[in-house]
Amino acid sequence: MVVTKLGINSLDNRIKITIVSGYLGAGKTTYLQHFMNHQVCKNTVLLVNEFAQDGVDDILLSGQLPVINISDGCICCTKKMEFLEYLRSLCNRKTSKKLGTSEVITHLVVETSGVSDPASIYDGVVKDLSLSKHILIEKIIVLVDSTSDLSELKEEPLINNQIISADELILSKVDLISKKKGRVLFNFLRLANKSAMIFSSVKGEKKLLRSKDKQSVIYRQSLGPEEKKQLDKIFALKIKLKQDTNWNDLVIWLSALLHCHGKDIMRVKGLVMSPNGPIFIQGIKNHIQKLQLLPEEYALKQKYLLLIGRNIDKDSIKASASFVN
Amino acid sequence: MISGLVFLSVELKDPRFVSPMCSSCGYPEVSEYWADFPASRESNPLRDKLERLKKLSLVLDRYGLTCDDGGAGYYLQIGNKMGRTELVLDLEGLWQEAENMLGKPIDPLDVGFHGSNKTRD
Repeated sequence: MVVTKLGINSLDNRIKITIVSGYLGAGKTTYLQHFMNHQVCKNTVLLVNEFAQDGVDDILLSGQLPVINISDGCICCTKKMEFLEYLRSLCNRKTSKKLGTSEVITHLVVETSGVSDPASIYDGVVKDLSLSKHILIEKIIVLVDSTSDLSELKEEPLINNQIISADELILSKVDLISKKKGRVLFNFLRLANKSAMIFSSVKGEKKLLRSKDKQSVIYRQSLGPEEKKQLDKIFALKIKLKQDTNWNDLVIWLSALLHCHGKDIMRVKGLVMSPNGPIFIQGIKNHIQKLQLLPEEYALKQKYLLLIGRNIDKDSIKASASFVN
Repeated sequence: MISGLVFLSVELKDPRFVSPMCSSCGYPEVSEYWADFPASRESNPLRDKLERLKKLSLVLDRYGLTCDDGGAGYYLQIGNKMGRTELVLDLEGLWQEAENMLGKPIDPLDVGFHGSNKTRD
């Protein structure tokens, strides 16, 4: 995500959440173990969520960081209230720090259960009026098991949802597969989520993968016409905005678009100019997270709006964007 | 004489909120819509909202609807030409109410929608 990379998060004193998601056995815990051993995690708490009643993840992960455990249900559905309640208590602690009482938590890493949908966790935070003020969902990391069959990845709707809502995708266990399969999977992920950064990982150690045009040809050949159609329905559209785009036009257009087509627009990201300065927008479906005000130097950068969606005609969105441009 | 604060609850048409209402001034709670803070100028956040309302009424006019701030500036008022008016908290509520009045959502992909900005310029 743009904002994280540039290290300007210090401007924003909200609690940052990183969500680590992925299907059952994708390697979430391994990734986190590696991550915690190689990074200085100051003021960070790890929240482990497990679908099973008695989990082992919190034991595997304990020692490095304080670990909170929510088990016997997903934090995206049955345990959602418990999760939100915990977030509220973190926010309370943050505000009471100002009175000098307890140590403040600035980061929360959430390991979701294998069967949860990160988008609905995101929804829960963003919809909550008080939490959205104090919490910023910084990154959604989704691990994809590279040893699983491509058909499984394509057909399981939950995996699809996870892949689409990710900011970072990590292909795990790549040491166990052939190079050719790695390329096929990479291209599959690239087609399904055009905006995410894609990494590969071996025993939790991640490496950035880069895309080459040649490879996407290989992937397209390996698909039948029906499957190709299915994936082609998902599109990513980057609308370049003029420097002097009117903020109110943008708000009217975007809010109407999300009201009418919110179900089919999976992600909104963008750097736009508001009356109060440059702003970073991000949202999943029809929920926009509280905006992030950026430093003044962003005022000169190219403004854009990125939409990822399906079942809508890309060209008609382009045409209607003339409303703002 | 009533002593102490009396908390009233007013249900706006917007199904998401049962909004608390201030017992002294009678205004419903101000909505925290994503577009308002921190994008609006700190000096005068209402001004941005009113400017938006002006643009919005140009769009809604195409659909035979009107909107204004109801004289208060804290919420929006949407009406049709039959005289039906509703109070809504924010744009999300407004598009929903417009959908209720028209029987279908206002689609920005329609030529009518983005055309409305062109003619103004």
